Amino acid sequence: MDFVAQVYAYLQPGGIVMFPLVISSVCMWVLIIDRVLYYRQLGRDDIPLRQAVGMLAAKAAPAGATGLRAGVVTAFLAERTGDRDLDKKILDRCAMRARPSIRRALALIATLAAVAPLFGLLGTVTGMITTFDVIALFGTGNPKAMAGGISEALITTQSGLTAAIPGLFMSTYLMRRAGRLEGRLDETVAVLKRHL
Amino acid sequence: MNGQNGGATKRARGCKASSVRRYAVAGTLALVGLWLCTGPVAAEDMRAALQKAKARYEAALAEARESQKRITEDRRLLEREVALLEGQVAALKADIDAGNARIEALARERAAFSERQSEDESALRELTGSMRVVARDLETTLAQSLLTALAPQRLDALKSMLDKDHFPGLDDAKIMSDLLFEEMAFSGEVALRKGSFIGRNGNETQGDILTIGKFTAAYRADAEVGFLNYSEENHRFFALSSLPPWSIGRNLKAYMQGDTDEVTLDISDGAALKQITHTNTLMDQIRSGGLLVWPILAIGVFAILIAVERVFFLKGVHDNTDGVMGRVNDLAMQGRWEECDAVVKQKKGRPVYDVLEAGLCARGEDRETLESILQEAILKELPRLERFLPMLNMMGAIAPLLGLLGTVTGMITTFHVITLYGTGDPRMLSGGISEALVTTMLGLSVAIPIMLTHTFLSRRVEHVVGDMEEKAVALTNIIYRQTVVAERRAVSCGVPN
Repeated sequence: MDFVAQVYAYLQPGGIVMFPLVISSVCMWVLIIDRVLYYRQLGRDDIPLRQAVGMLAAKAAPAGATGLRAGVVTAFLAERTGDRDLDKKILDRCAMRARPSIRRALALIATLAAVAPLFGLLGTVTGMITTFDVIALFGTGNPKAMAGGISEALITTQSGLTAAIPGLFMSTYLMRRAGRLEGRLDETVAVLKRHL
Repeated sequence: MNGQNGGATKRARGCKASSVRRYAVAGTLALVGLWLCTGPVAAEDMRAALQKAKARYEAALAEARESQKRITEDRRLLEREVALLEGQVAALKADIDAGNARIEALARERAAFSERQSEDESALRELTGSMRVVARDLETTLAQSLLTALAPQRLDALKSMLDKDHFPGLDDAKIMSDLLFEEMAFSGEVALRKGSFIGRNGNETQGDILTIGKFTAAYRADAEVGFLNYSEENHRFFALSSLPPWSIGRNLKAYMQGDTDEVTLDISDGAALKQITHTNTLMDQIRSGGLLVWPILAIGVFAILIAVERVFFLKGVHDNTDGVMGRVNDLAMQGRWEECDAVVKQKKGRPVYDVLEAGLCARGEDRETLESILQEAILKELPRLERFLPMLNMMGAIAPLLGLLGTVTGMITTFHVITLYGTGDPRMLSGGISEALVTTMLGLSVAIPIMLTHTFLSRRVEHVVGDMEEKAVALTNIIYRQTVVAERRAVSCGVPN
C-alpha cells in the first residue's frame, strides 16, 4: 500500500498524460516478459536436431517436449500420409503454422517503445501550456505556481524516456531472438525434408 | 670763548629780569601794608587788634582743635560705619553667591526634570504610536479575515482608534485584545453558520456558510455547493463564478452533512480558488488553438472511422478464414466437392470466399499451378485487406507535423505581438505561446493512438494473410491427397485412370 502511495506520489505531478504512459509501458513490459519466457521455453525444452530426425523414424513423439522442433515434428507426425511429396508439403504447412507465433507482439512492443517518448513529449507540451497559462494569469513573479507546470513537463519526458530506452533495447533483442528461432525452424524443416 | 661768555650773559640777564619783577610786587605789597598800618591812631588799635587777633587766634586754635577732635570723632564713626557696611557688603556677596549656587542647582534640576519629561513624553508617544500601529494591523487582519464577512460591525470599534488625535486608553486596548482573541479563536475553528452572500447570479442569497479557519469558505444553497471568495473591499462573500469540479463539490456536500472528515480546502489564500475559475477546458483550448486545430481534429475523426471499419472488416475476414476455410477443408477432406462449391458460392465477392473459389476451381490442375493460383488469389486480396492502412500511417505522421506547423504559426503571431508591444508584459506573450502549443498537443494526442492503431491493424492483416496462406496450403495438400488417393485406388483396382 505504501509502495502504491509512493508510486502515485511520483506519478501525480505528471498530470493526466502519465496514465496512458504508465499503461502503455506496463503493457509493453508484460508483452516483453511474455515473449522472453516464451522464447526461453521454445529454446530450453526443445529436442536436438538429431532426436527430431530420430522421432521421424520412430513415428512417435516423446512426451513432455514442448520446444519448437518438437512441436513441428509432433504436428507433422499427426498428419503424415506416407507419400513423400505430400509429406514435404505437410511439413511446410506445419512450419508455417508455427511461424506466426514467433513474431507475435514484436511489432506491438516496438511501437509501444516508440510511442513512449511521444507521450513524454505530449506531457511536456501540456506542462508548458499549464506553465504559460500560469504566467498569463500571475505573471513571472510567482515561480511556485510555474513550477507545477514545469515539473509536469519534465516528469513526463523523464518517464517517457525511462520507458522507451529499455523498451527499444528489449525490442531489438527480441527481434534477434525471433530471427534465430526462425532460422532454426527453417533448418529443421530442411533437415527433416532430407530425411523423409 | 666769546660765544660762551655771551650765552652766560644772556642767562644772567634773564634771571635778573624775573627777580626785578618779584621785587616790584613785594614793594607794592609793602607800600599797601604801610599805608594800612600807618597812622598814629593805629598803634593802640594794633595792640588791641593783636590781642583780639590773639584771642581769635586762640579761639581759632581751639576751634580748630575742637573741629579736629570732631573730625577725628567723625572719622572714627565713619570708619566704623564703613567697616559695618563692608561687613554687610561681604554678607550680601555671600548671599549672592549662595543664591547663584542655588540657581545653578535649580537649573540643573530643571534640566533633569525636562529631560525626564521629554523621555516620558517620547515613551508616551511611542506607546500611542504602537497602539495605533497595532490597531492598524488589526484592522488589516480583520479586513482580510473571513469572519468579518459574517460580522462586519466589528470593524467599527477600531475606526476611532485609527484617528490621529485620539488618545488610546485602556478600554481601547481591551477592545483590541478582545478582537485579537476572537480572531485567534476563529482561525482555529470550523463552523457551519447561516448567512448571506452574493450568489453566482449576483443576487443576495441566503444559505449555509462553512468556514474552515481563515483558509476557505464554502456555501450550500438550494442544493448548490461551491466555494466562496472573500472580498476585502466591501467585506462580503462572493460565490465563485464557476462551480468546483464534481468530485470536490461532492466532498464539500458530504463534509457539510457530516458524512466525511476530510475536506478540500485552499491554503493559498484564494489563489487556488482563482485557478478554478480560470480552468481551461479542452474545448476552450481547442477554440484558442487557431485554424490548424481543425485539420488535426478532422484527421483524428477520420482515423477513428477508418480504424472502426478496418477492425470490423478484418475481424470478419479472420472469422471466415478460421470458420469457412476450416469447414471447406473438412468437406474437401471427405471429398464432398459440390458442397464446397455451394459454400463458396453463397458469399462470392468476399476475400476468403474468393480465395477458396480460386483454389476449388483449379482443383483439376497440377500441384504447382494450384499453388501459384492460390498464392495469386491471396495476393489479389491483399490490397483489399490493407486498404486505408497506408493512409492511416500517413495521417499518423502528418498529425504531429500539423501540430508543429500550428505552433510555429502561433509563435509567429506571438512575435508579431512582441514587435508591436515589446517584451514588457510576459502575460500577453505567454497567452500566445500557450495557444501555440495547443496544436502540438492535439497533434501528438491524435498521432499516438493512430500509430498504435496502425500497428495493431497491420499485425492483424499479417496474421490474417498468414492464416490464409496456411489454410491454402492445407487445401492444396488435401486436393493433392485426394488425387493421389484416387490414383492409388485406381492403380490397385486395375482400372485405367
